Amino acid sequence: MSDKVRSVVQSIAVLACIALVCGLLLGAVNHFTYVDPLQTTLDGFKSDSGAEGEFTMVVEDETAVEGASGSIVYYAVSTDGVHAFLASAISQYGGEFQVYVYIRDAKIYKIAAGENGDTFVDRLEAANFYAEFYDKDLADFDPLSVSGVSGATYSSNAVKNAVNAVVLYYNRNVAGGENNG
Amino acid sequence: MDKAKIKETFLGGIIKNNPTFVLVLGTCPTIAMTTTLFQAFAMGVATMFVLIFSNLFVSLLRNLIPDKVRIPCYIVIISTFVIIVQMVMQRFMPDLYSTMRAFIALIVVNCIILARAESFASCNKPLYSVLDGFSIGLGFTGALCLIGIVREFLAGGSFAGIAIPGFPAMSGTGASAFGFIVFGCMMALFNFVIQKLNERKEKMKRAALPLAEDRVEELKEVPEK
Repeated sequence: MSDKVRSVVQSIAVLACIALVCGLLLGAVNHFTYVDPLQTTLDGFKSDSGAEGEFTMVVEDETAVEGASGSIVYYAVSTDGVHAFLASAISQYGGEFQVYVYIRDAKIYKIAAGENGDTFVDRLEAANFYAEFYDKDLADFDPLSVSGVSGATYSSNAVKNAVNAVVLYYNRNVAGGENNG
Repeated sequence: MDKAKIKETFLGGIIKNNPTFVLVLGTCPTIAMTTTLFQAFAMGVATMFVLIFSNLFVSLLRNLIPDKVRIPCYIVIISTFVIIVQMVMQRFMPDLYSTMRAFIALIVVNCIILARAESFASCNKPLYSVLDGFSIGLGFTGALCLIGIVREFLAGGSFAGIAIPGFPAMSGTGASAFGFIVFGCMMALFNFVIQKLNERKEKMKRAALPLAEDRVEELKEVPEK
């Protein structure tokens, strides 16, 4: 084996060994720090929504919504009539952008940003952007018509797409009578 | 163990090679994560953890890692510890994690960590490398906290989340552009103080020199018995 080939093989072997050890280390840490996403989401829904009843998960697998660029990651209903959604859309800035949307009496009353890779999310709250979606009759509401926040356009678009997915899903499946618990 | 080297390594990261104020590295998290003192402190501690362990691993493996693949190896090691920080924060500090998520992930490409792995840990023993990581991390955390205190006070009229009566928030001071101004002022102040201290030290050294020479002359004048 020539020196050059030996050097390449040695480099690959060392890199592979380091990657293996690092993988094992991450696996061990993950064993102690693993968070069940389903339970965490239900806990989050309960604490964020202000609902007093217990939540039951309706959608636990990410569901695409026809006609919307966003999707529904989780959807749960509480015994006191709060519909909680975790929706997702793609931000052109930081990739996947998750949004929590809470509906009571067929109106959105709270929106919060979930996991995302964007760096200007604080601007949405500062500009009172989420309030633009509140207390609208969902049957006639088009979330995409809401004006975005200057300086956080990609994040605004991601939120609008996610809320649009929720509104379409709600109008088709919940307000239509299938899951209106 | 060389006590002088330990002292030099420890103080070097905080003063002489302060990553923020002297080397001007890691400017992105410095501006983004110093809007409040708490965030600045959390970012500093997360970076310090990654620095200490990546330096330790790089130092332990320094004789095994071939030169050609040293950078990929360092990146694999650094990203492992960044993911560990993410996992721990997500499990035990979910609220803080959700606000810092994007910037915690960016520690992987923080030039301070790669620079210390390349310039120090790859050619020093594990003990010194850990000390260097701790010292650089401490210098980074300290700098971030100083900037965080000023920015939080100006933009929020508070200290560590506690509102200070009589000091209302100044609108516009929370912006990144103002963060650069605060960063620049703090850097100038830090370097001014260090320069003055060094000048004073030099002056004292020079002042001590003639005394020593006089003493030699005095000793020469003592008649032999």
